[in-house]
Amino acid sequence: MNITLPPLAEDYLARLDRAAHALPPQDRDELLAELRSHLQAGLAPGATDADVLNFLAELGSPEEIVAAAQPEHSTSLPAAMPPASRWGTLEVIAVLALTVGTFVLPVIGPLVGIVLVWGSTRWTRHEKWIATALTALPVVVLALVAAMLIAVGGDSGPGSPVPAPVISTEGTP
Amino acid sequence: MVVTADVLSQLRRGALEYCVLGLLAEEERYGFDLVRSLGAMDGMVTGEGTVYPLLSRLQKDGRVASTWRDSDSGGPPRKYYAITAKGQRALGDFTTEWGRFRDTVDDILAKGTT
Repeated sequence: MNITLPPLAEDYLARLDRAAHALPPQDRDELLAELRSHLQAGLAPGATDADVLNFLAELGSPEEIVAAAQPEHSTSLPAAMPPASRWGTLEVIAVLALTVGTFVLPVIGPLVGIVLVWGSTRWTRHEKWIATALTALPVVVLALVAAMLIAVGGDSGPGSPVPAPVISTEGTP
Repeated sequence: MVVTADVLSQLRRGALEYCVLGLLAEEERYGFDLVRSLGAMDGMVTGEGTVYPLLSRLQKDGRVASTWRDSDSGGPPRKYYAITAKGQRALGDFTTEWGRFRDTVDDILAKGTT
């Protein structure tokens, strides 16, 4: 059901929405739904601005509420948990396959490395794309350079000016 | 008052979740009702809105369960919270520990003032 809230209350929810950006999307949606419901339940249709402001003051600031939703605020976990290590066995093998593997087993080594990178649960999707791009980039660059050399070679044919031989021919009588 | 606000806020923060469980052990309540009850208790919460993240955390821990339901009066839907068996056990444990803690502190404070 859609109940219109006073503009001051909508402003408050908009501020909460902005403040809650750091929260996981599901937590953020839930928090906003709860507070919208709270405002709908607590504000009578004819509430004056003063009523609304008093009601909002009792709720506390949006920033205060979001701070209470941050993990470090938890009472059951007083000390912040150390972040999970970004390096497990899989990640180390993946990097080795992408680097050393390129020389030991060209093509196959980097391919195995990319498969391992995408299988990692510790790295973000963004990081996985970076790893893939860094691996693919030299291949793409080499292919482009090769294509350009072939194109240039094809245009000018055998008589293409190459500096070194020109100098050597001038030196001979 | 000599006691700093910080000490009270830390005591409150530790006890609040069990007060929420205690209120829900009496009966199932919807968010607004629960939050206003806590807000009406002297010194229990500073910002009523901060109870919602606490409820969310209790739910993630499996100590409360919630359902969205239409209100009887035909108003907007409400989220109802109920205590779970795990929540009951946590509340029972805290009630015992709290009693011992309170008695110990009372004893020490009584000696200090006499």
